[in-house]
Amino acid sequence: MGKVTNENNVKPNPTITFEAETFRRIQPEEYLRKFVQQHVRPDGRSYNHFRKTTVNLSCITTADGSSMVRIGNTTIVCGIKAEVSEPKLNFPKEGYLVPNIDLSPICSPRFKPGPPSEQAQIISENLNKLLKNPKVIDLETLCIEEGKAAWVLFADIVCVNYDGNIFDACVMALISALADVKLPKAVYEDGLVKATEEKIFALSFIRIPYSISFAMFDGKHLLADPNEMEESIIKSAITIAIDEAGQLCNIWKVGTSCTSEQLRFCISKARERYVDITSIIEKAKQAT
Amino acid sequence: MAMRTDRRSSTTIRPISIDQSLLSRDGSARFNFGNSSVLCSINGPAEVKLRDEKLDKATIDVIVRPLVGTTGTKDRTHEYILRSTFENVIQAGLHPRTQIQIVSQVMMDDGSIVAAAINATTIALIDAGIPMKDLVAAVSCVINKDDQLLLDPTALEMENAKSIHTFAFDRTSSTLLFCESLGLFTEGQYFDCYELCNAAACHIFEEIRGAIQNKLREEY
Amino acid sequence: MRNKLIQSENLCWLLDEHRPEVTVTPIIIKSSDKEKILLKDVNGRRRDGRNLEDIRPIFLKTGLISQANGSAYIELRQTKIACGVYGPRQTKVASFSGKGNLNCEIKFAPFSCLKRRQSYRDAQEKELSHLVFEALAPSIRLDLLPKSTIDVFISVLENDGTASCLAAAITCASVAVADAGIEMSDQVAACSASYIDGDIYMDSDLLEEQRETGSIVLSYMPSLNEVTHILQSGEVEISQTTQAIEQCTDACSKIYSVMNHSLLESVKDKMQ
Repeated sequence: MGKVTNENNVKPNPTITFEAETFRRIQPEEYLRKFVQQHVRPDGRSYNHFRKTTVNLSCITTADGSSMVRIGNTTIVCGIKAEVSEPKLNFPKEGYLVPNIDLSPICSPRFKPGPPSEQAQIISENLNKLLKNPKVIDLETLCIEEGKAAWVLFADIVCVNYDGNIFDACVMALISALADVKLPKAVYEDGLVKATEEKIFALSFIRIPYSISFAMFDGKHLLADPNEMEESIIKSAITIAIDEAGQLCNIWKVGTSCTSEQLRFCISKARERYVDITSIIEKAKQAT
Repeated sequence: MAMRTDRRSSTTIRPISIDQSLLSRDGSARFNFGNSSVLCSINGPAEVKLRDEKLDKATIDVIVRPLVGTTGTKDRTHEYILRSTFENVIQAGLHPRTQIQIVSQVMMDDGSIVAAAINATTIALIDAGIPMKDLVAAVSCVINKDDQLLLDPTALEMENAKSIHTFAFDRTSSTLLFCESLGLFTEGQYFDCYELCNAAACHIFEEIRGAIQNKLREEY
Repeated sequence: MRNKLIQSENLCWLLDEHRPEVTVTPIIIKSSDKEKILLKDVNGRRRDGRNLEDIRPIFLKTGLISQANGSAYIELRQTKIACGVYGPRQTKVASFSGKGNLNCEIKFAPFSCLKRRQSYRDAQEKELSHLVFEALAPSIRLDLLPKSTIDVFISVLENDGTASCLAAAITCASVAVADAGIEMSDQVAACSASYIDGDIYMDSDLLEEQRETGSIVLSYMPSLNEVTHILQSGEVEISQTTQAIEQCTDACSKIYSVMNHSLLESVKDKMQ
């Protein structure tokens, strides 16, 4: 590290050269800046370029609904299991929808075994907020018998490969898995819930939100769909969720300051990307 | 225009009260929006655990304590919000290999808790004498079912809102540091909230300034 | 103090306000009785057209986890397993060890089984993790890696029979370790079999496993002709066990060629 600062500040010595990989490891921020100054990102994308995204529906037969989403190298599997429980006292007609993400140590060296990391908890919390406010699924359709029994949908998300922009991938996987859910017809009899073997019921959606994320580098460069390397350097993120009518559902921004023009720019880019996501998921639906 | 339950107009914030140096810590402050109250204490710069040590800057550790019960995912998210907001504001590079700990305790919850916690942290950091690049102030607002903007909502107003917005701004450039918007809203409504909260944040900066001037006057 | 707090909070995140405290799976009214399904027809063919001694077709691919040093993904029809290998990296414990440390962890995704699994680590996962470790450890040259740890993380995305799942996990982990460029004396291939009504069903699936009287999982290094691990359970005659071991070693040799093929492919990809 000392050599690098010497080279830059004290006396310019053109004979000291580094492999690009060494430079990336010891001065990651400067490495990224060198690329961004040339209006390109280290993986060859332009600022507004999203990585190749694929969706695979009904890939897990043990789940009631499932989806696998890949954004670049990021791989997420979401499986939904339906169980039965008593509804909450204050909402006797409503079922439950419980999203949960597991960032297990398999997906990246940054995660350790044990209870969920802070990041996993934050993603779970934000997914929960996105599903409940505004409502995505009408929870009353999950009711089996008022005040007695209701469906509990456990939406468990497993990250297989962590290469950045995990939240967008989670939302895509979650929404497409929910759309894939088929529930059996259930009846409540003397304290027991009986269900048919055949699964027929699909969930009714109120709206279909997708989220689109950006990273902001040096306060002025907005990088769409950041990968792991970019995310580890840039601490500023903007996430925008919109629904099919173009209404905003969620905006989440942390880190260094940004202007309202930059927000407006992100919203307009998010609208463009929403159309792409819908067509990707439509294609996946036709494939199954 | 419909009057709010506490007879405020839609664009007024509840009475703010600020107390400083309440605890025997390096710095502490309590910030109240009416009945919402958050107490914040600062420890540090102090010794840091080897595991968390950063060679070029101070480690910023945030603990959020809820009003009742143990910390859950909601509080973890609050911790993350505070940490990511203040990491960029505190001049952490001046205290390498140390830890600055922020403990935020919710005292009363009547809406706008995240905003109150951010404001309490700003004042506590000043009280602790931690060097900062800028000051931060946060305000919440909601859009209710009649598409009416209500600044600084109470818990009841938040529950019945169509969308909830929390913004944190810095003082010198008045630009957005943190934003969380939930619920259904349009781009126009979002930027209306943005402008409204930005103006309210300026008012909070004045209040903070006044509180600190008063305290200094008392001390000397 | 913080640490203590976190420990006591370990399970608190489970008791979240959003989720109900107790959930059950509903009683399924069965239209067709599972007990009546025949495991094999008169010609000795199984439900999916396999003969008794056939194993399921294997899909095996390396390098799917870009963040890991080595990785592999295996699919045996419904069984789907991903494995990531991290290391050799520095051992966290300060004491010196002349041999490398192998750490295996197997994790079932909550949606991978018929009944939903809890997301924390249960006893079965601990047991299976240890079995993978025992099967894999003899093949890895740990003596060449002092002071280091190799972490093998296995994620079961879909489980179609626990014994065959364990076998697939061992095979997959072995390929992932090789993909990480860690020195091994040989690859470990593993295969399972069920004893049902006096027959040996190779590589049994979940329905077959539910009706078995005993099972065997064999881990084998084909080039060295050495067995690293055998797990036999249930009541079986010795002659039948011997036959099962023979059939399993044959099957392992077949699996071995698939493993070699996928590793060769990955090398070709890396060359390009």
